[in-house]
Amino acid sequence: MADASTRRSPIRRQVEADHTHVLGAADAVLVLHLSDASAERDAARTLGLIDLSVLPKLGIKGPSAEAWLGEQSAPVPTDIYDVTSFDDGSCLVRLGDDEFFIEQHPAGSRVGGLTSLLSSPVSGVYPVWREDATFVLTGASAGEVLAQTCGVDMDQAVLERLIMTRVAGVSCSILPQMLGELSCYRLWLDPSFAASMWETLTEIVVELGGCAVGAGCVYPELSADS
Amino acid sequence: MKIIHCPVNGPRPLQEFHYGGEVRDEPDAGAVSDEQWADYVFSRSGEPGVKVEWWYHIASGTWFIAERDIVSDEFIRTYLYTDGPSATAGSNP
Repeated sequence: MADASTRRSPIRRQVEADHTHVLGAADAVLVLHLSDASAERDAARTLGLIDLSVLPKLGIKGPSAEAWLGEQSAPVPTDIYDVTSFDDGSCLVRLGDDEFFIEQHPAGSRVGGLTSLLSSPVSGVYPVWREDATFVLTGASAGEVLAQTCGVDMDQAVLERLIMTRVAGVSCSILPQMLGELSCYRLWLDPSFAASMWETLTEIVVELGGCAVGAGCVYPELSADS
Repeated sequence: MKIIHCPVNGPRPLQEFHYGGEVRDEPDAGAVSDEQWADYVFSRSGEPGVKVEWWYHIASGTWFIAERDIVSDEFIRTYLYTDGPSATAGSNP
């Protein structure tokens, strides 16, 4: 697993520029805004695309994984594909009977803490280093992007319940969720597809009148100007 | 669009799946003759009818069993191998 302080998004060259406003959130460079913050927040209400790939992630597998997470005061989801949140806002997804996925909140520390606890072997609990890319489609038209690229009808999707499908031919996990007042779809995908997926999604988002925006649109508490 | 019912993920388009071959019992390689082993490795039954097959949902990494009529290419039912046919997850349209 890469040192947290060295985490960079696989599409950093596409979103990080000299004029961007970045934050060393979670010991990683998170792009808060690509342009004017206020204009971005307006754009995100209609259609925005955000890169959150630098957020630390961790997979946990094994016959004792569920019990061990419970010992760590984790809100373990009951059903496969259900999602819950830690007290610091980090999300916990149940991928199977004995398999879980965690993504840290930009202001959280949960993945680092759990990783430290697993630095010594725990019987029946196996850490899986995850480096998935994370993209978020925001706003009222976000569903239209997926309607063009995905075979699942997102109008029938349930909030905070994971969907594993393919987007533009790439295997993705999609989480419909609300971030603040914004209706969003969070996409996790293998980082080797991140650059091409970002370009594909950006092209469609722009066609539909949207644009790429920064993480400050969905995590305004991180923005200095909020 | 052809729809297959994944026992874990529900109805999904065919493009999300990969065919894994007919379900067959592997003989004990140390006990059978070379001819019997070669028959297992190389021979397949093309007889028309309902086949019990392995299918794979690519996005979630789920292997499951599908009973498919290879004449009409109709998926009759799908289920997880560990659950068996009695726990049929869903019929396909």
